[in-house]
Amino acid sequence: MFPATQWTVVLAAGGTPSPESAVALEHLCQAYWYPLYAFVRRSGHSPPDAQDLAQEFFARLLEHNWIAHADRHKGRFRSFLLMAMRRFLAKEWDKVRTLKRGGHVQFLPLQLDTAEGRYTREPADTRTPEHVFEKQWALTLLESVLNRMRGHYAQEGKGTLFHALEPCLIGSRESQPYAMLAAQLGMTEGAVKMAVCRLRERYRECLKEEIGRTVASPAEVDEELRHLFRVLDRG
Amino acid sequence: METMRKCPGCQRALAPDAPDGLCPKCLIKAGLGTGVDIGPDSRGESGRTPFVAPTPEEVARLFPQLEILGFIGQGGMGAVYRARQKALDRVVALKTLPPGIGKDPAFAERFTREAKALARLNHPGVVTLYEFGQADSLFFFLMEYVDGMVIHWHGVLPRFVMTLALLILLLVAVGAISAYRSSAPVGRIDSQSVGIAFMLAVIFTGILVRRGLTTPVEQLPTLDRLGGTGPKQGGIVLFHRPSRKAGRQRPSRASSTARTTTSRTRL
Repeated sequence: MFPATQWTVVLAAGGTPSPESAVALEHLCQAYWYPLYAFVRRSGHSPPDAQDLAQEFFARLLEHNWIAHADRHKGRFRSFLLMAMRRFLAKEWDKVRTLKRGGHVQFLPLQLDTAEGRYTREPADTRTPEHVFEKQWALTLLESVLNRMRGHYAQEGKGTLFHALEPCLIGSRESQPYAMLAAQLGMTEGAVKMAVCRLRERYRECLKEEIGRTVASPAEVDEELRHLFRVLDRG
Repeated sequence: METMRKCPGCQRALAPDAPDGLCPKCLIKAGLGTGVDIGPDSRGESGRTPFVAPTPEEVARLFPQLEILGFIGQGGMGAVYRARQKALDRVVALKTLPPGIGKDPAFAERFTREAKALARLNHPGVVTLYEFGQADSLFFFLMEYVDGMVIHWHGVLPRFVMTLALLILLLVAVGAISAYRSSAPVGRIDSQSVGIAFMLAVIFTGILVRRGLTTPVEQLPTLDRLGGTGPKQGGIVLFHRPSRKAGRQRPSRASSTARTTTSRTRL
């Protein structure tokens, strides 16, 4: 059975949100707010407006229970966020701009001050806001997975091992000779090989788990992975 | 000056926002595991699009010294055309490789090495290499043209004919037994010969079924499944010693072309 993920908990709550589903949604929003910020910026809004918009969007999303309108059968958190933000930009932003000065909005603790710095480091190109959103989504997801992995290894007192073996997640064996790593880590070559094997296995589990947080069924995990691969393949 | 970093996996330039300095595309691919179909929209690891063979007209434009007589066939790694060398008035086989393949810097070196190895081989069972090189962005081999049946059918046709013959024999035997049991006139067929024919048919059919005769061609063992590392070579398994087991080291081969032609000669 597919374990209840944050997104399935949120979806299951639907029109009657429970405290549990509200916390789950808040966690998801905090983890994946930056792709939306990049989307808003790419749509042509200035940095201050984009910050206000992102903040306002999440505040309204949490307060007004927009999840109740989400399609439970086709729902991925990524698609839902993008659709909701598009609707928000098209219909509600003008109204919000007049109201937001009222100060009755509860803000989500987002690190918006660092967001613009991150956005300005993005390569300038002619990609669509949707593509920017999806690419940033994939990058955010990967960062989150690598951070979790780093945390796991650090907890076990193997932070140095993770740091040394991390490039083996992708690199060919020629670029990361096990013999060199073994000498660097004071391990045998066989032990390094085993550690790399475990690292990759754990990484796959972590990645699928992280994606599982944002999709509604296990069948969608691999499909979402393929989708993100195609997004990154487009550049 | 800062040099642009490249991913050791896909050789693409790494963006500054790559998570932990690792290629995001390869990270996603690592999550999928090995041997997973990425999907029809993907261009594959080396960024190649699926190979579409150039038309004979396009090839003719690139090779003015040749008269392209026709298209012979296409595989995953190239297309072969029948052509005539105008200056020498001889029929040759022109093999072209996928256009995008030359972008891989390691490929040009490997291509030259294999061509040199093939050029050193001189055997009636190995096609002779006349020329190799690059025309525009297209890598090519100009080789001896060997007329004949496609290698794949060499393996399949004899099996098909033998199966058909045995099925007929089996049907005759069954029919004769039925006729004998119903006391109908059976001519000169006596019970002993019918029994022997029936037994032989059963034994041969059993042997052929065991050898995979009745399995679809796609499921027949190939070099790949016997532990080979090269591209799929349909039908070649017929020429292996039965004692050869999967994973055992085989002699090195100059190229798939040489291998195929040697097999044809053995036939």
